[in-house]
Amino acid sequence: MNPILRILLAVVLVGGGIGVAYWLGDDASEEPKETAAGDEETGVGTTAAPQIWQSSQDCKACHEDVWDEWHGSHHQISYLNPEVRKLSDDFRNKECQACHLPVPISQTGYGKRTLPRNTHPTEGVSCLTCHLGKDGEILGRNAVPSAPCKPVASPQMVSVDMCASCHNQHQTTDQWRASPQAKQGISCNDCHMPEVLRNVASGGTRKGRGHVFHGAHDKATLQAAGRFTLTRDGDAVTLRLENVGAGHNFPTEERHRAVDMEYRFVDGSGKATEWSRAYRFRSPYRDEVGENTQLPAGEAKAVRVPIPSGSVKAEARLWYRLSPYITNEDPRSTLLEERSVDL
Amino acid sequence: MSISDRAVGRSVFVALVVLLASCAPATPDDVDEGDDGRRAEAAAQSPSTPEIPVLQLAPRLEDFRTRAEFSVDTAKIAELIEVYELAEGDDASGRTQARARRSFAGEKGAARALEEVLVAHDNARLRAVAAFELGARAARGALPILLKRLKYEKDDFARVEIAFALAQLDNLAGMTELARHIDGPNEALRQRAGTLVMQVAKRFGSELPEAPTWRDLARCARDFDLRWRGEGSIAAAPAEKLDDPEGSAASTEDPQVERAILDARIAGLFVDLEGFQLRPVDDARFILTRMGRVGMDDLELALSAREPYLRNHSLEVVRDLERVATRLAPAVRPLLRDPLSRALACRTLGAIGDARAIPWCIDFLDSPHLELRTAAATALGSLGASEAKPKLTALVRDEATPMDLRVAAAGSLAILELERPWWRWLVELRSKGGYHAPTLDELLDRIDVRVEQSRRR
Repeated sequence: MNPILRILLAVVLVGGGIGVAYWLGDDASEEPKETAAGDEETGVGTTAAPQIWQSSQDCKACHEDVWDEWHGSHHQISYLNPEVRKLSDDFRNKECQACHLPVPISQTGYGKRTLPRNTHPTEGVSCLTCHLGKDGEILGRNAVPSAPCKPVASPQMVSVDMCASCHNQHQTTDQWRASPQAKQGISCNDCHMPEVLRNVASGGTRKGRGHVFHGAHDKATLQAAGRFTLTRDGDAVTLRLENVGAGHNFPTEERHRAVDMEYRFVDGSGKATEWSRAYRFRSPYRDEVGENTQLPAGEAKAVRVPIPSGSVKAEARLWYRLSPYITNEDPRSTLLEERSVDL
Repeated sequence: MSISDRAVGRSVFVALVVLLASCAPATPDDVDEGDDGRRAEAAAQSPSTPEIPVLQLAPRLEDFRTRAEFSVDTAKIAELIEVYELAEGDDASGRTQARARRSFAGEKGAARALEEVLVAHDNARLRAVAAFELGARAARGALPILLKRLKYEKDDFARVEIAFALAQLDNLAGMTELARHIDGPNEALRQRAGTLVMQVAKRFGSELPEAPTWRDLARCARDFDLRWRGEGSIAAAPAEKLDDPEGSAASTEDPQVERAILDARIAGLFVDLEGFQLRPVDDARFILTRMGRVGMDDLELALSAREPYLRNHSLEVVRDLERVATRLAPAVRPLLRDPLSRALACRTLGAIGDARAIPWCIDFLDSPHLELRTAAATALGSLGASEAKPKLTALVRDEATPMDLRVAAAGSLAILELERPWWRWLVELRSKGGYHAPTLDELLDRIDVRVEQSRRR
């Protein structure tokens, strides 16, 4: 374009712009919003974030240690886990997706339930599920303006309400609210996201939280939940389980989780009876007969079993099962404790 | 009117930007890719794209809650269940049974007792008969209950009767159930399902050969299913009354009472959508997506609910109703402005075939929000938007495009082009483990269905 014409065009445009400004007056000085009506109506995304965070991959470069912990955790595999896929009929049971492939919790609100997303299926409950704020900002326990993702401090980051969005689907956080642990101020993260030391890029260390999310798939965590004893009590033995460590029912969450107390007796010739179940702690399926026998936090259950004559020893075992109708040999069964008492 | 400093400053700035732009060589690749994704999204809106309608939300939950209230006489229901157990159980003598049957058949409002039996009785045969009776009594208020049992009932004989009862209430959502048993190995179930399909064919005026084969009957049931899913409403021949092979000769329920109960129960489903527990949410969704055109007015209301779960799950229902819900497009379009719902709204407009959404979807392909871009790419295939092919092709070919988006774009291209290269690309991606296999399988199945539908058209 001819330079003179360009200048003329600019003059015309400047003049036109001033004219428009006259016409619109103060109203024109308002900043335009991306989707004004929608944002005002729904309260989501009203503030523009400097960068759009899309995936847990965005976090990996700076937080590789945290990413490594999360990667492989049951949060990360929540949409991939073959057990879950089977139970949810490959997620044709649509209700499961909201927690197994959720949008960021901040979008729907802490303590409220989540909605499903349709991207990054391999990330399940991703970094962004917990760390993305509703306006697109990154949330952390502390504000770090100098970090590339500029996390903003959020009291929700270690709150029970954060977990409740999904984990109260099976009343686990309600169980916690009624527990002795809640009264002592011990919350979800104290057990499931214990404090760890992390290296800081500028040198030194800082306190952080573990992102492995140990729970029902970790033997040590399960063992810490209950105190299991076998004692002689006259002409009977007593198997007793006390929920001393879980700040919620044991087992909790899904109805297929079960805890079994088993026993057998050994006679003088060394011959043992078959293993028998003394008690099962479990919430039955909706179409099953029976009551919820999960063991609430702080409570104990004892079962007396008469000693058969000729017995010289009683043995007891405590099993945790991820599915109720499986054998002891099934890898989804975990032997938590073994006890024996001479008679 | 006075000029604010800010307005003047902005005018000068705009003019300078235009001047600079006119000096630089223009290329088709010039797109505002600034740090602020929201600005980029705004820039991506083509000037020729019509405005998305304004979103106006209103509280709806309380209204649904009020409408959902209705009372039943529980003592009377318990009494009637006892009579019903005498009539249909195995304990009473033939004479007592006959008397109980007559007494039960003459009771207006017995439908509520039958519903209780259908939902909670531990005798599967009694549940099956209760389902049949609900249909025979034209108890339209029982529609949501029958549909929910279709989700949970495990006894095949009861399932068959539920499917037939639904058909008697002009709902053909259970026809695949009948087709399944006609194809199945159980001879008694096959006989029963076949008989019932002939009844349904008679009611809805579908022609079967004089002596239909099992194949004819199964095809007839599947055709009804397809029609139901495509139209959501099939008119019965008005004068045609179904035969009563059980000889129950029950009286029919009061249509006005049934309508009121149905309305209350539908309202109750919308209350469930906003609740915390996901199982009732899924039950409500399951029922609403099988109600056909019944409940459509309430869905329209719920789409503009201020309550977020109510409007999001209603969107999911509309999406799953596909072309049955096309008339709800005007209520869905404004949700493209709702950051919480817009990706789902995009998919929904695709599923219900709203061609007016095509320009918005094409613009959304440039959004910085991956969830929205992926939804838009998916919707464009469902909408048959051939004008989007170049953009979708570029997205798949660009290896820097996030894989979610490439997969969605390839899926839409496979539908749009009715050719195999894009399908093959997806299959290869699956075999290389390049994307989540179950999600790819679901997409490939959906493509097959869509391609088949397009070929038929």
